[in-house]
Amino acid sequence: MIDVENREPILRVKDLKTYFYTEDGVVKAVDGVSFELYPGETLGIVGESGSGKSVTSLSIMRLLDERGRIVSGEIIFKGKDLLKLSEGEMRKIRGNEIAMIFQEPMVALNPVYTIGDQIMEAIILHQGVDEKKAREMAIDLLRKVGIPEPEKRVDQYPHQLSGGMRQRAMIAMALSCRPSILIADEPTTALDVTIQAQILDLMKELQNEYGMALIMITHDMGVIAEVADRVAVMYAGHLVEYGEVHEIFKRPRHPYTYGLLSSIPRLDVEQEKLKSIPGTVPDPLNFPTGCRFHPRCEFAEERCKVEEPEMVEVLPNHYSRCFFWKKLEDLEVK
Amino acid sequence: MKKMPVLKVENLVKHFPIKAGVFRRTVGWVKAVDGVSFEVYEGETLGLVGESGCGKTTVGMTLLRLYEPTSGRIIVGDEDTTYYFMPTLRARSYIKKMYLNRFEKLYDERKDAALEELEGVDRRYYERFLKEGKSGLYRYLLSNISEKRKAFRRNLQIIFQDPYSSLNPRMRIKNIVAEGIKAHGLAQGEEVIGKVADLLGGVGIIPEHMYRFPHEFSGGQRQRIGIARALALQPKVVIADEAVAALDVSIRSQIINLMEELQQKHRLTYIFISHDLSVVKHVSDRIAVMYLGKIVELAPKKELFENPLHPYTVALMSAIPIPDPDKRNKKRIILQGDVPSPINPPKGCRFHTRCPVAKKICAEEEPPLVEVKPGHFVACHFPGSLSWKS
Repeated sequence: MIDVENREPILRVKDLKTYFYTEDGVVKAVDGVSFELYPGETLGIVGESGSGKSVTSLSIMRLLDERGRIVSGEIIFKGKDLLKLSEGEMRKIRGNEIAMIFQEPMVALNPVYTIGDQIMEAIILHQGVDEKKAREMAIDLLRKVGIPEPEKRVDQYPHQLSGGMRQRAMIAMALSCRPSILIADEPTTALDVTIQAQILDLMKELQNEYGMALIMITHDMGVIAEVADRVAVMYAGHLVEYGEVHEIFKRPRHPYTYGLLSSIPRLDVEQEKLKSIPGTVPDPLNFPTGCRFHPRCEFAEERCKVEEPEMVEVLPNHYSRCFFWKKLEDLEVK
Repeated sequence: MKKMPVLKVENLVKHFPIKAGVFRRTVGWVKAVDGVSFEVYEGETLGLVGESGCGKTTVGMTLLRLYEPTSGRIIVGDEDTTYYFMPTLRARSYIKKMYLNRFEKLYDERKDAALEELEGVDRRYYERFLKEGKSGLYRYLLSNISEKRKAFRRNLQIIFQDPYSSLNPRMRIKNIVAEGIKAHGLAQGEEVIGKVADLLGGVGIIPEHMYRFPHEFSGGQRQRIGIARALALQPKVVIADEAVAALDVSIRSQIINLMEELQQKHRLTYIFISHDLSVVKHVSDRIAVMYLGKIVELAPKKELFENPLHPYTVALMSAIPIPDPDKRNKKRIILQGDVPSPINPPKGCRFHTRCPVAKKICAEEEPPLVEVKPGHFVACHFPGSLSWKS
């Protein structure tokens, strides 16, 4: 387990706000998110569609499209604020020290270049080796991520690989420069469960070997429970709960986390009827006043409608954005 | 007495042609569904689970006759419905082959005594054959085909996966839900509005919103509208094809609960198709596990989870991440490689290329689906040889 007290975080996100300026108005996709990432640990960011989890990761990589703007905040990586770097300096970090893999490898890979070319591009750019050496390194990487016959696969195009193989190739590419942080945005969502098991297994293995920190972004509580050391739960652009993985799963102190955990069908427990969170995910153009979760919250009171709760430390290193977190103390997640 | 199934599928096969070249010649076949048999009983939920490409959706589409089956029989209630949507000549030759010629042969050999060994539709049709002769049965089967089709459509309905593409964006909700009611003449004029309002109310949509368009609703609400549409004709069997897969976690449980409530209220029978074993476990009474166009295991839910016998079922169960960090380090069976192509499925047992316990015979001989315990079917040469405990 990670000793949070005595270690310097490798990445510190402080009060990040990323807004999108659309024709319909301002979408506050990420609205004041703060967290730390420690060397070698896995931080799981979990949330539903529109919660801002992907935008958070794109903000760290500074890969937002032209409508998106980081309005305020700091992203401190190894003592430098990434938001203050020039595009040239950022390029030296992106794909080199911080790498990213995406949900749909068919979209993230370029269909007109071979797998080998795409891996070699990053190696040549960041490590200054010649093409021959880069090719050898690419083949080694493909072998390492479990692609059979890497000498043959290196010259193949993405469409010639299966979904699982493409995701392996993406991982090879991301690891080519031995990054200290890997951001994985729903890396297994598009894959079948038996392939998902393979990929999660591979990622854990490689993380141990390379000692990198991992940010795992997903909507799947099962995947989080499987890989994360610490968890950040997002809802409507906010972090609503943040803490160590056992804490979050065993002692959730935010009604949203609690509702989410009680509403998943479980393979390992018998459930009569599923609990469900009423209502729908709010419109990002028009978030509710006060606590953004209050219209769907079973514990909400008058105060929640008008006043926005702050993150409070409810237990050591366990934070919740809820006025009435004490109400959850006696509840148990079945 | 044996329970009477509402739906019975016998040896269903659906192959899709692969066309290539200037003349679009058929160069091969995708064997999406390759001999699937099961029964569904009234009021139950049969879960159909498997990974992408296993043929679970094709089974659903073929049952609904959105695809014409390549071969096999689909019996709804006490009628063979297989030929309902075939072109006339094909329907005639199907009936001749399936019933007339077979019955004639049976009659020559055994006369009335042959009745004893027949059951279900075969028995019913043979009785008619004895009473009214060959031409009588022929006429009976081919008569009123358009009414038969309508009745079939009323009895079987579907809820689709994607609530965004399954509702016509240019139609108002009222018209989407009322379309079937009008087509089947179940209500006229003002009555239609009343019926639509009831249906929408029943799935948790405010009836006053019936004049809105699909884009004005969220994903979960649209799925509710899709359910209202499916229920409009009071079907016996509803096929739910990945009905909750596209929804957010917090919305998913709302829809699952709604479907369970409606099932009890209307005595619905569900065929619940999904890739997600946790969801299937929650909703189903019995579960069929599919792999590469075949059912590899079929059992009541409790039996399947307590005593999975097919190595693929075991591997599938072990691969699912459990949302409990304390259960993290459980032993997991990680299957090697990918699912083979259904164009050229492996010889013998189709799972043998990835099976951790495969032996020589598995590559040579295809194991049949056999009943190893009452209600528990498995297609494996060495059932129970792979074990895993969470």
